[in-house]
Amino acid sequence: MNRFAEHTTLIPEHDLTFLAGTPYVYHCHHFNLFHDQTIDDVMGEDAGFAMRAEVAAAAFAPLLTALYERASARTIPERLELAQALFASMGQGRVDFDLSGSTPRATSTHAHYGFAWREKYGSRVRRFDPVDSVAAGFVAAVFETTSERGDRFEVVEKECIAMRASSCVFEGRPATRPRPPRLPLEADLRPFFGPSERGVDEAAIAEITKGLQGFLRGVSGDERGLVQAFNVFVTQHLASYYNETGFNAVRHAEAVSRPSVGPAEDLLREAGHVCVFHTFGNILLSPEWEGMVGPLGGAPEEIVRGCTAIARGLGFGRWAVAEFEKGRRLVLRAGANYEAAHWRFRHGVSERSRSYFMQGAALAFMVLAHRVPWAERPQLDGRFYDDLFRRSGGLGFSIDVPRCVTRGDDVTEVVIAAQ
Amino acid sequence: MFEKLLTNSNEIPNLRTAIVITMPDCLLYDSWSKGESSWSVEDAAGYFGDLVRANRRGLQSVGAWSADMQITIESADALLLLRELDEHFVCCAVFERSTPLGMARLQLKMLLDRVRASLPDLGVEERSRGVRIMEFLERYAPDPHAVLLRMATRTGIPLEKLRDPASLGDEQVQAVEEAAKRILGLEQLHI
Amino acid sequence: MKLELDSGCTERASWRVELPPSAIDAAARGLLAAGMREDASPPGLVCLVDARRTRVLLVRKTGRCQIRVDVDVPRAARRHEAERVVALILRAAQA
Repeated sequence: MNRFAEHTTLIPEHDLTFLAGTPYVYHCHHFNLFHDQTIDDVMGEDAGFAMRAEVAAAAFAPLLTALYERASARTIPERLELAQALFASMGQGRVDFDLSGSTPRATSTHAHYGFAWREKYGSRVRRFDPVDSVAAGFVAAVFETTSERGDRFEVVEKECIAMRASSCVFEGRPATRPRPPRLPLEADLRPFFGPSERGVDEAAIAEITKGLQGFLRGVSGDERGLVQAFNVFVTQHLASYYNETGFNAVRHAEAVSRPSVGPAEDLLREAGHVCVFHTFGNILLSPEWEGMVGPLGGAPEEIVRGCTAIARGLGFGRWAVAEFEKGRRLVLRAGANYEAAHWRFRHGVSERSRSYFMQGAALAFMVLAHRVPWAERPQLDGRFYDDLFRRSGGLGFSIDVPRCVTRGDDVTEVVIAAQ
Repeated sequence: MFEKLLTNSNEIPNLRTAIVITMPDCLLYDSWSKGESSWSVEDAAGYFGDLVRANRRGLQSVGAWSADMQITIESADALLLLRELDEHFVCCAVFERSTPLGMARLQLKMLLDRVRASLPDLGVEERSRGVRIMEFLERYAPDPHAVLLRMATRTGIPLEKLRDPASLGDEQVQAVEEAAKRILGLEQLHI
Repeated sequence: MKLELDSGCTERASWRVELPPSAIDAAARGLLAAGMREDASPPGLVCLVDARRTRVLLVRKTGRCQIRVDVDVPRAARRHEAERVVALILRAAQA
C-alpha cells in the first residue's frame, strides 16, 4: 500500500492528480530520459543539469513542507524518514542522507534516472556527465527543509551510476543562484482549466480510466525505490518539473539560438511520442492490462480507446476522442492537460501552441493504432521503434493544433491526419 | 556479383550470408543470403566495416598489422569470418555455428578467390568529413531517429543543412564533430 | 509449456508461458506454498513475488503467466532465472 495515497486528490472532471496540492503525473523511464536529454541538447550538460536540479528543488520543497505539516514531522530524523519514504514510493529511488559532516551528503544505489539510463543505454554509450538532476534537486529540497535556518542548497552529483559508479553520491553547498520562480499548485492552475470534454467511446474509456486510477493509487516503490509495473519503470513525478524544464529549454533556445527552436520543440513532441509508444504500448501488452481490460485484439479503435484511457489514468488530463476515422484522422481534445495550465500560469498567452507533449502523444496514438502488428505480440523495443522511422518512409501522419489553451483558447485540440 | 557467383544456394552448404563492404566508408557493396533474414544488411555492413577498421588501427598501434589479417567471431549461433580483400573491400561471411572452423576458412578462401576476380578497380573518392560523421552518428547514436534533431539543437545548424552534410563549412563540421562526440560518449571519433 | 520472451521495456526481463485458465488458482496456491508472497494487483490478476524479487503475474481469464525477472539480475542470467520459476509454476499447476 502506498502510504502517501491518502494525500492524493483527483479532479475527476479533468483527470488531473495532485499530491498534497502539488500536480503529479506518471511517466516511464523512456520519457524521463528523453526529456532530460532534450534539455541537455538545448542548454548543454552543465547548464542543463543545474537548471533541472534547481527546478526539481523548487518543485519538491513545497511538497515536502506540506507533507511534514500533514504528518506532524517536526524533528530532523522524522523529516528525513518521510522524505526518503516519499521519493522511494514515487519510484524515484531510495536515497540515504548523511547530515553529520560539514558537507551534507546523500547516496542512492537505485536513483531512477541513473539506474534507468544504465539499463537502457549503458551497454552502448559511455556517459561523461551525471544524469540524476531530479534526485539532486530533491536532495537540495530535503537539505533546505531540514535546515534549522531554512538555508538553501545547491546539490551536485559527484558520482553517478550512469557513469559506472556503484552508487550516486550527492553533495550540498550553499546556494549562490537566486531562488527560482514559484511553481504552480492546484489552486494556481484551476483558473486555466477549460470545459470537461466527452468524446467517442466515453463510457468504455471512463471505466478503464477508473480501474487504472484505482490501481495506480496503490502502486508504490519497493525497498530500493523502484516501481516496475506494466512492464516498464514507472515514476510518479511532479508535473511542474517536466513543464518548467521543458519550457525553460525552449525559451533558452528562443533567446540564444533561433535555429534551434524548431528542432527543440520537435524533440519535446518526440518525447511525447516516445512515451506513448513505449509506455502505453507496453501497458497495452502487459498482463495487468489483460487482467483488467481483457486480451488485446489490436483493432485501431481499441488501441485509441485504450490509449485515451491510459492518458487519463496517468494523470495527463481529460483527453477525449473528438473524432476518429480509421487510417485517416484523429482529433484529441482536452479542456485541461497537465502542460497547458502551467504555461498559462507562468507565461500567459502564447502566440503558438505549447502543448508539445499532447501533440507527440496524439501522433503516437495513430502510430500504435495503425503500425503495430498487435496479434504477433511484438517487442516494442528500440529496434522496432527505429524501424518505424527508417524502414517505412516515416510515420505517415501530420500534426495540427487548431486550438490550444496556451494560445488562450478554452480547449486544446490536436488533429492527426494521414499524409 | 554474388548472384553470378552463387547461383546454387547450396554451393557452400554452411554459408548463411556473405557481405562485401566498401572501405573506408563501411557501405554495402553486395550481399547474398540463404533465405529471408530479419536484420538489415546495410546496418551489418556498417558495423562490421567499423570493426575491421578498429581492428586495423588497434593492430597498427601495437605494430602487429598485416594486410592478410582475418577476424574470427564465434557467437552463440553463428561463426563469422571477416577478411580484408584489398584496401577498398572487406568480406564478411556468416556460417552455421556447427561448421568446423577449418572448413569455414577453406570455403571462404575459395569464395574469395572468385569474389576478388569480380571486384571493380576503385579509385579513392574522398568523401567529406561531415558526411562521414553524420553516417557514423546515424549508425551508433542512441535514438538514431532523433539524431538530426539533436544535432540541429546542439549546433544551431539548420536541419536542411544537416541533411546535406557535404555542404557544411569547416566550422560547422567542427561543431558537428563536437556534438557527435557528446552524443556518442566518445573522446575521439576515429573515422 | 514453452517459455517465450514477453513484451517489456527491460531487456530479457519479461518471459511468458501459457497455462490453462483452470490451472491458475492451483499455480498460485503452489507458488505461495513454495514461499512466494502475494503483491498488490489489479482485478483479474494474481501477482506473486519471491525473495529474489522475481514476479509472477497470472491472468485468471486467459491463463497467461508472465515471469518478470528483477532488473538487478544480470541480463545473461535472466532467462535462467525465468526457467527456474517456470519449473516451480509447472510443479504447482500439476499438483
